Amino acid sequence: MNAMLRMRSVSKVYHNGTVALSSINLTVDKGELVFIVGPSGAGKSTLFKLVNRKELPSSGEVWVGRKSVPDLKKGEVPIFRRNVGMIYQDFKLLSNKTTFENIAFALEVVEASRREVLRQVPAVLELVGLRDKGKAYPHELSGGEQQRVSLARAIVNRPIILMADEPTGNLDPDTSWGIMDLLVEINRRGTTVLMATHNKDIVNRMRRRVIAMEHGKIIRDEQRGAYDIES
Amino acid sequence: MTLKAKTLFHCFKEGWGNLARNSLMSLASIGTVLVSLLVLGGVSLLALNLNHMADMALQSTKIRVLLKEDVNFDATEQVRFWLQRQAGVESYQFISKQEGLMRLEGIFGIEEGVFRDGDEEFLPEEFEVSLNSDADAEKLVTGLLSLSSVEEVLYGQEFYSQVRTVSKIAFIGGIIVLLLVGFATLLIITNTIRLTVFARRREIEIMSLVGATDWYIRWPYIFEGLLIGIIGSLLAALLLSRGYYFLERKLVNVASFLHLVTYDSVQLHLTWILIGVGAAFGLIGSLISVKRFLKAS
Ligand SMILES: Nc1ncnc2c1ncn2[C@@H]1O[C@H](COP(=O)(O)OP(=O)(O)O)[C@@H](O)[C@H]1O
Ligand SMILES: [Mg+2]
Repeated sequence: MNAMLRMRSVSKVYHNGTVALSSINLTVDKGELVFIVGPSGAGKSTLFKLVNRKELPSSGEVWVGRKSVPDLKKGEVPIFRRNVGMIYQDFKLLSNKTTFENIAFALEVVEASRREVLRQVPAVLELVGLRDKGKAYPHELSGGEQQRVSLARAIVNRPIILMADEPTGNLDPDTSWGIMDLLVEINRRGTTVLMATHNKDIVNRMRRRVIAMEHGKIIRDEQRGAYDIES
Repeated sequence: MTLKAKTLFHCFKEGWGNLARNSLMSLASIGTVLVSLLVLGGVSLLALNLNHMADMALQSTKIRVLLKEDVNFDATEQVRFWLQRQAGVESYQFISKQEGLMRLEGIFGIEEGVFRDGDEEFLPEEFEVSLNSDADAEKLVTGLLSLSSVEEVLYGQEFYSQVRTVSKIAFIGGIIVLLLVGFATLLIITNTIRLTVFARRREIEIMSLVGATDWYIRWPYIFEGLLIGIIGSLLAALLLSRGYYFLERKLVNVASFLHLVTYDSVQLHLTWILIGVGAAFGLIGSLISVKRFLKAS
């Protein structure tokens, strides 16, 4: 069994009654790179939140590897999250910390040793192509560079699964491709990657698995798919 | 929830940083802790002094121990034996029936023939006891009363118990005031920490995103509360000691008959109590805040 992520009959109804997901069935295998597309409000972000346990499903099962995510005990959640990297459209960097510190932060809060910080941070900075930007603050970086920092922070704890929620939403096309190339590289090194996006160009040129959502349901799931239905 | 030394240091540093960054609210919190503890300290000192005065009054008067008649053993010996073993007894004197009568005659005079021969038979034998300054007068009295040969013990009961009552009322009143001020203190500490949590919500969100444990996220705020409490209590201890020395000096001049407890004799206890109560305020305040406002996951 090679499944990295499995969802069985998952529904999510928020407290205010909004049905964000209904009867989702989904399996993503180890090493896949999957696009999740669909209009705003389709439920893409909610799906991610169920995977990293920001939210609990109203019904159904969510499995990451051999762990049932909703059944994780409170104390297990932080350890679990170290295995699930996240990046967002708005980067979520700390403005009063440098590039180096922003990435080191992810290691420090999990009580990594200084030795580990000094080994891992330069390595991921190298990987995302920001070797000489370690001392820069977020406001001194372009949007693309900021997203690279957030990507570096997401992978520094070596997650088994990486979820990118509209990572190119604030970036111009060229910069977006830079981020996409990095995600492909990270995926090539073994991390399962899920990416929610509105970027037609990228989805159509990549020809990877595409899951299309609408009104909280999966309406299409194709290998080597495109952004829109092809007739 | 094991904390590495490095993490502990980190949390302490962060807590201190929070305190400094949010300086206005921090000062307000420290101020209310200070006020609460001044009330607590002031009330404690007042009650201590009233009790002290009651003890002093009791020590300076002599205790009269009246013996029972018609006991089939030597009452005098039993009491004498008991008094000999009491550390608080400075000296005692046996007063026979005859001496008792002579004392009465000394007080009321003999010219008018108030007393007749044989009157001494109606008087009890007694001991007159002087206490030293370490004596626990109340305990001695209870001890004497429990002896089978003792009929009655006479001392400044009324004055003594009145002062004790006043001191109790003052203390209870003080505690009620303390509870009110304490409530306000907790409210302000809780809000101070809520503001810090709010100011740092982005950081907290990211910490939980990358897998920091709840306690790693919470400790700095708990340290912040503890620091508020401890700083407030140290200030209170300092102000109380200065204020008390000042009062002591003033009173020596205007009312030298009042024997105040010396501050040195209570300082250590009082300081620790203030620090303990202050730290508890800070800890409880921050725990409430962290529980209510820091939804880490
Ligand atoms: N915390 C929330 N509380 C209530 N409703 C929410 C919450 N988050 C999202 N929703 C609603 O759930 C639906 C799906 O939202 P979302 O998962 O963010 O979609 P997408 O990411 O595809 O735009 C939307 O109707 C949205 O308004
Ligand atoms: Mg979304």
